[in-house]
Amino acid sequence: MSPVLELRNLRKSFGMGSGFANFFGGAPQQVVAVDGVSLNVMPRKVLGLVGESGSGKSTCGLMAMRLLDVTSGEIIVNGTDITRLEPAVLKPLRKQMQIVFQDSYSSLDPMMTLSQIVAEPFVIHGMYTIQERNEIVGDLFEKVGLDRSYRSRYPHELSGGQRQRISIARALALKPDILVADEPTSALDVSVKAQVINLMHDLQEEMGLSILFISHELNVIRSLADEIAVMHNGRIVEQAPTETIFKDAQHPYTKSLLNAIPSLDARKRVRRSFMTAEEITANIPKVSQADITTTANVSTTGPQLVNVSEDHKVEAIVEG
Amino acid sequence: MQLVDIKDLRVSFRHHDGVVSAVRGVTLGLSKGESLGIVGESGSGKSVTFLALMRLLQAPAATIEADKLELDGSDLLNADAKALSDIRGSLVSMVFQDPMTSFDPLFTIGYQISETIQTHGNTGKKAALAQARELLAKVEIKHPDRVLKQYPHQLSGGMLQRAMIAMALSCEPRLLIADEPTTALDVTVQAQILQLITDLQQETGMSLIIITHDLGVIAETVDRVVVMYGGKVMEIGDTLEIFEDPLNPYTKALIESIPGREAGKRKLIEIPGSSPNALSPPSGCPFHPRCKLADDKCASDAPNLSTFGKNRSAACWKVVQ
Repeated sequence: MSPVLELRNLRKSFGMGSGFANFFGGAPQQVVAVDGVSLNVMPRKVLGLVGESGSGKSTCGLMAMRLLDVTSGEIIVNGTDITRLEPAVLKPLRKQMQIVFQDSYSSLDPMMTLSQIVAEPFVIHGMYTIQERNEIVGDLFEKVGLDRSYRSRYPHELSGGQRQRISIARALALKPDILVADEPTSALDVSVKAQVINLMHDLQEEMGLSILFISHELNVIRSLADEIAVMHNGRIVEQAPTETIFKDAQHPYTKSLLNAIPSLDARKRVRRSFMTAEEITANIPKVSQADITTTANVSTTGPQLVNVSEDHKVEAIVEG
Repeated sequence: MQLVDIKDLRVSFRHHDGVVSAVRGVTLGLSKGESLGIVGESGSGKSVTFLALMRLLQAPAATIEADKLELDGSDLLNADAKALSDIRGSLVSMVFQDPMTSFDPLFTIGYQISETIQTHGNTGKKAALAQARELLAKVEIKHPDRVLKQYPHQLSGGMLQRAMIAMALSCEPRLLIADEPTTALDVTVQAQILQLITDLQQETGMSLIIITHDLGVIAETVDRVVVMYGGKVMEIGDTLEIFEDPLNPYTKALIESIPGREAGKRKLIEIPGSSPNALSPPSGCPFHPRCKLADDKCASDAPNLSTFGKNRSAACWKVVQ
């Protein structure tokens, strides 16, 4: 089966200190936000991308949606390389790919009614008659668990959870194949978070969606994702099926993320020890050439992502 | 005598659409050396309760009423500015969610911490700076000398929160109130800050109040938990009891809806509906519109907080002795 979304060796660097330093002849600094990321989102599967702020996870999501240009690498959606398509050529393809952001307040136009917001994708792509649009929008409201009577309201009249439902309804309006969800539950209250996670759960099964689910919360990802990729400093450091990550994490950074999940067991008050960034680097696993199942030739300089089993990849130093 | 003694606290705000009752009759206490977690969602009144205790809410926008609002025996409700300043300096300190906006961007960390020490203590500039350096080392900042000379924007969120805690500890408070101290931080940093706060509490013997929306933050850190909803206290108990045998249906639902408790891709147990509107709160029990067990009585009469065994109370008609 071929992936719905394929990211091949994506890189993104941002120029820093533009202007002043450059003016006086200083070399412009580069920040590498994403440093060679390859990911496949398979049909009807949820891939969780976890990492802390600055890991490059959101940058990956934005590049995958062509909302940010890549520095190098390729983005393939349903077999089509969209990396460098002109806007006019890209526009019809955008129907296949949609995104939901963390902050539903700033991603909904405050001047538009909820039904205008959800119908906007149809307007942009010139789909359906006005009557048909109304009908479909009503159906979408129901699908995301909002009453049809809300259609003439404005975003500020809704709670955070309800606004996020509208963002999801808008993203699903065009029946996309791939949905990027960038921290969709992070800004929500605890009791509402579960509702939105369950909604995404249902919609994914019902519509056969493929989702790239970006989050800093391993716990949230656990209940939704089939597979987890852990991102650190712009690189994927480990990737495996969800429960493998929870039971058999190999990379020190993955372990430190797992270690940081607060326990709900009040009996277990253990003093945790935390790894510093240096310790994480020092503890990158070492594997011998014979232990890895990668067929491609691997060089022995610097850590790289290698297969330690069929579906488990870890960034490791390969020794000859 | 209790360190914190709040009886029937009511706080309301004037709003152009009417009066918002943010806190509707909260009663709670805290003994010396104890750590207390206040859990609630946004709008539950958890932060407002303690802003009111610290008298950080201004009239005429806010109206504070209470039968008792005491800190270490002194009345806060009618205290004047001078008395309040003394209490804030010597008795209690507060750490807020966002360390970036809690520091003044124009002054160095060292200046701001030593300023606090000078304001509340009888120390000179030099001695205050030396004390600030010591405090930074105490909160496990690796290069205290460098950080003293740095401005807030030069530090990461985790480092700034450590500096904030250092500042809060500068007057050796007997009570530290931390309002969502880790919410704005990365997951790995969050765990470290929590550990730091618990360590410092044990070391200094101060009392601790952690206000949070995240039950996970509390389970490992505090002795007792207060669960708030819709401006009211729903349940109070020892942490272990709250997690193992929640009495109030809201507490139970809150614990059950935490994602990732069990392995595998699965649907979560969700609480239907949304939090009550503070402008027109529901009659009776604030949770009744979302509660599975609710009946007519829950909708018409608000249950009082009643005791169930030692150190345990809950406000719910459905909990029987």
